[in-house]
Amino acid sequence: MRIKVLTVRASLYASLTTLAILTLFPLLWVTSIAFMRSPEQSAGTPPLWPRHPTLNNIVNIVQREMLGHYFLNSLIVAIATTVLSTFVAGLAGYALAQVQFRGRRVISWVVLFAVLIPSQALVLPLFEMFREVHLINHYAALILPAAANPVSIVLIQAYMRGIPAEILDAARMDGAGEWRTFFSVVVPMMAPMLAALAVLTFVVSWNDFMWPMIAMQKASMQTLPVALASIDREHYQEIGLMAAGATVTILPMMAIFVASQRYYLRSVVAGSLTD
Amino acid sequence: MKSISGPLFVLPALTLIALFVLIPFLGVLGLSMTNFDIYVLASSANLHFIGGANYAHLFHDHAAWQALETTLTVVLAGVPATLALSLICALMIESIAPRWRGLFRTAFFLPVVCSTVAVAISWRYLLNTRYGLVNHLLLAVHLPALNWLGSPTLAVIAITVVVVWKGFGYGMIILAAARREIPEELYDIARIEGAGVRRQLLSITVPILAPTLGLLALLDVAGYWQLFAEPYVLTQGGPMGSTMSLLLLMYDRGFRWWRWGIASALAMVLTIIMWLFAWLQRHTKTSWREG
Repeated sequence: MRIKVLTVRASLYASLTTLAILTLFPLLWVTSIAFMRSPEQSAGTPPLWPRHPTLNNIVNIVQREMLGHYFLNSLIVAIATTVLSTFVAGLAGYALAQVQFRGRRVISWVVLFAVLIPSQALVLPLFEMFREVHLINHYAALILPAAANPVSIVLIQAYMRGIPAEILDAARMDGAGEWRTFFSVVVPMMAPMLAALAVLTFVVSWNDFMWPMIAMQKASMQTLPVALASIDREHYQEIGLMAAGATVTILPMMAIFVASQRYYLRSVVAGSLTD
Repeated sequence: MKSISGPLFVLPALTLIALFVLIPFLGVLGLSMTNFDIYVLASSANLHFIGGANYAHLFHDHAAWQALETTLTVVLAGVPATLALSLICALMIESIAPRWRGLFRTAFFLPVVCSTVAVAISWRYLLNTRYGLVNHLLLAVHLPALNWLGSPTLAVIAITVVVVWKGFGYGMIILAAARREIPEELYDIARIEGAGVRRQLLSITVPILAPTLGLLALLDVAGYWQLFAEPYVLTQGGPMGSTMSLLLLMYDRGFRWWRWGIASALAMVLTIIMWLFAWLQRHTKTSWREG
């Protein structure tokens, strides 16, 4: 009996470890190739590990292909999107959950309807709209549509409903205006949720591909994934170069995720269980 | 005071949603019923309302049916595979010592946070016919090397594998959280009554997790249905259009040929089928609760 339990436990750890290695392998391998010298990459199947690690590929993709520039574009867009989206959704989610006003119900329904519209189906009219106001090839073309985030509003609304109204009423009775109540009472209360959504928004913005590719027609305005895809069209034979580009694109997100997974995972779970 | 701050707080979000979701949605609906193409772009005098003609065109368009079939194949094969993998990993993680759980959760979730373009590039080298590691391993065990991205059937399978690999960590996190909510007493009672591991799984775990699985199915369908970056990088829709997804076809028609009427009709078809899936999911969920 004892031996059977041990075997079951051992096989559990063994299968989990195998699955984890298989899952991580494509990420680890591409990172490893990024540090290989070109003979290692091109002579048949690249080895698992660079025998003579080099920074050449990273230097090449950063200098020759201006990857640092695209990195900066991505960073600007992701930060602005995150700040704007989180602030706007925080205000709206709180008001829809805890402030009484006319039309609240209708607006909640409108937000729910917006959740059901696949954003990628909207790129044609969006392109026309931004072209009309000459904002194609501007950061605003990426930031503004991404800041219209109905899912975040629904999540904050659900989270804020769980907070007793008495706490907020007490603050209001002390004579604090709605703005003061919002910033000094509500924001601290929903800070964990806001932090979680902020990380989620940042990652989604960083990885977004289709709309950024359409909206940024000028090469110098492209974000990292878009630039990577267009460098890839030209240089896909240069394994080391492309592996370096992929590594520079995914490493920051992996680092952010590992550093903030406590918040990030909470928002992922909240997003699915508040049905 | 109260009456004015409520609308004021909602206003920014509502403006953004109206401008960048609702109006574009009406735009797609409207465009799908016009002849909007490169000639209209040159002079708007050429713009005409043509009713359902674009939809009728799609109905007779081989490429549209093929894109529908490809996307549907990825959804119908990918969603069950993702859910199964998510569930298996979640249950395994929840039954090991707590201090090791975080490590495995992180490992399975990392692909979710990575750029699809970047991981597709990595997968393309793994699957390469000549020097890819997958074929290297196949040859090592004396199996024939396969032309993964060059054969229509294999390319769809390869894309489904990449999609599942990138997606299952998400469901794993949610199912693990839901599993933790199930009281251990239920399992204690089952054990006292002599239920084995399989019986516990089928009579307690799966029925209780069923609503969560249903919701995940919906989220996965919505995500996979919008398949775009994977075929864009891995195959560019080829070989012979076999991996052209609905969105890739919309992009191709819209931004390569500037046939916006047709492309918008494709976008509407995509949206409506997604709504159909959502309706189906709600429907089956209520019948579970009743039953």
